[in-house]
Amino acid sequence: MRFNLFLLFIILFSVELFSQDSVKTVNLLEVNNRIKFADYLFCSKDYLRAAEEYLQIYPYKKTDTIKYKAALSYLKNEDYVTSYSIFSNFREKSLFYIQARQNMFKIFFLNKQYPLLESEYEVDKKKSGFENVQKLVLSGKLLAADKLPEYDVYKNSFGDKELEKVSCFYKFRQSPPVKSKLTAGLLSLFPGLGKVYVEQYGDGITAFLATSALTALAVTNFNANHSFRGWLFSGLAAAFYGGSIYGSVAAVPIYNAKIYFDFNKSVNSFIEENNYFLSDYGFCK
Amino acid sequence: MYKGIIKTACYFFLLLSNYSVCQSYLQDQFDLADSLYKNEKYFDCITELKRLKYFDSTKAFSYSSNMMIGDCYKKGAKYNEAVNYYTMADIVASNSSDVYKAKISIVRTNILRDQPGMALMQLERMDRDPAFTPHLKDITYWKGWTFMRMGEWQKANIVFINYKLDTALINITAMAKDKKYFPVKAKLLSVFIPGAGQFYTGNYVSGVLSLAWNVLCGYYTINAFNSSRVFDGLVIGNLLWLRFYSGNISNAEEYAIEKNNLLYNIVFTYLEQEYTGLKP
Repeated sequence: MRFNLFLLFIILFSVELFSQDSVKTVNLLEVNNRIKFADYLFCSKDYLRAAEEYLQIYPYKKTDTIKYKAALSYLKNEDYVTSYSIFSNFREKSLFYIQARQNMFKIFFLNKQYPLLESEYEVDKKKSGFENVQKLVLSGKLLAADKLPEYDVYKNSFGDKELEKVSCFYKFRQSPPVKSKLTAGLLSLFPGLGKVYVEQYGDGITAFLATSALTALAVTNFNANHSFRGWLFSGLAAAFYGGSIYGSVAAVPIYNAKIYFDFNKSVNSFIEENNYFLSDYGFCK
Repeated sequence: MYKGIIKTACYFFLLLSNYSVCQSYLQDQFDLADSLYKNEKYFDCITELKRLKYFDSTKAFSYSSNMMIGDCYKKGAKYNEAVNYYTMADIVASNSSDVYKAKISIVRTNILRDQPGMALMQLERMDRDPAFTPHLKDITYWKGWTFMRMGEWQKANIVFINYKLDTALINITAMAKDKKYFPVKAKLLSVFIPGAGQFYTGNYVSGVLSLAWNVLCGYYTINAFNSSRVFDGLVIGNLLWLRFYSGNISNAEEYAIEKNNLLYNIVFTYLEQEYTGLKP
């Protein structure tokens, strides 16, 4: 009898224990559980779901951490408009103010709003925590079409490690290795040389061979009194010759666009490697 | 004696109900996800299943949630993600039936995401595994679909006929098999008689033009050599005749590939819109 009572007590007690445990975990939509889940989504890079989860949590737990993480999730998901609107709501007293402002600068940079980035930076320039933003502003200047500041400004802002690459970018912007249409056209007077100038070596050799062969054919046919074939090959040689001049001139803008494209890609990947010179909270560490 | 049995039953019932209380919220969550899936709200369904996975410390719903997430991604045409989740389901599957379901889902998604080579490799492996012997007919059915995706109509047709599978699939693969062109055959025909490959693929105008250009250029080349104009002969031969001759060969091959692509599209449009049987 005593044993039975003891057993019943144990079972009921365990029911109580389990049910207490289940009360804690049954409500998956309880705020703390939702935060844990949202953090999990954020760290597993499911940013869209994380952002939505944080936004749904916010009315129940109005903390800057939740708001900041929601904005960060939208930013990671490349929804710059929503992200900016949330970041711009942080007050100066907030612990996340500096990070929020830094992320706003990042959004300006990603949206290629370089003048806005510079003017907004002027506001926070003298405040502490914004020292690295100057690097982002200067990087924006490398990508923008306007005039570059003195090299010393770059030298003073970037560290030795970064300066190696930055000086290459600076040199490129100072004297970009672009090709001239006039030079290409003039060089093309010698068949194929214009193509070699724009680094299309295969096309250059082909243009030279085709023009010379057709000219030789025209000459031999005229010499053999085959005037029709002579004129036919003369026409073809002229077409190849004109085509090679036109092709060389037309290849110049393509060549120039390509080197600017490669330059922009290198600058952007350099900035990305350096995390846009922003401090990282390390939520997922 | 009876009292003892009743007591034991009571204790057992109490313990069981205790366990089920703990599991019920997970079941509720799974039911919620299931209803979202049935209502075609796949994005929300994935969110709720991920929530379930996160809180399911016992991993009791690991297989079913991974499978359903895979299904949702598949419905949203996110095939790579679908395969990832089916693979996770395959890893946690506890019995051969679940393993089979996960594996065949991966195969079906691979057929959909145009990875028939991978699908075939997986099917061959399943074919050799004695654990999947009861599903041999199903495996063969998907092998047929894989061959169809590869454009191997004859192999698909043989598979469907040998296992007495769907008649509609037998008929469509038989039709495709008969209408298929062989690019190598088209190429070889054009090597021996310029324009013959184009005739084989039904492009008669192109065939006549190809033949005419080759005859004309050949005549000019031979004529030049006969008149001792070796340079003329070499230039016309290289710049014109060789260009038309090689163009005729590659043209014949391109026509055959083009026609086969057209046939492939016709078959898969039919399968997508009209075929009522099981699809990937």
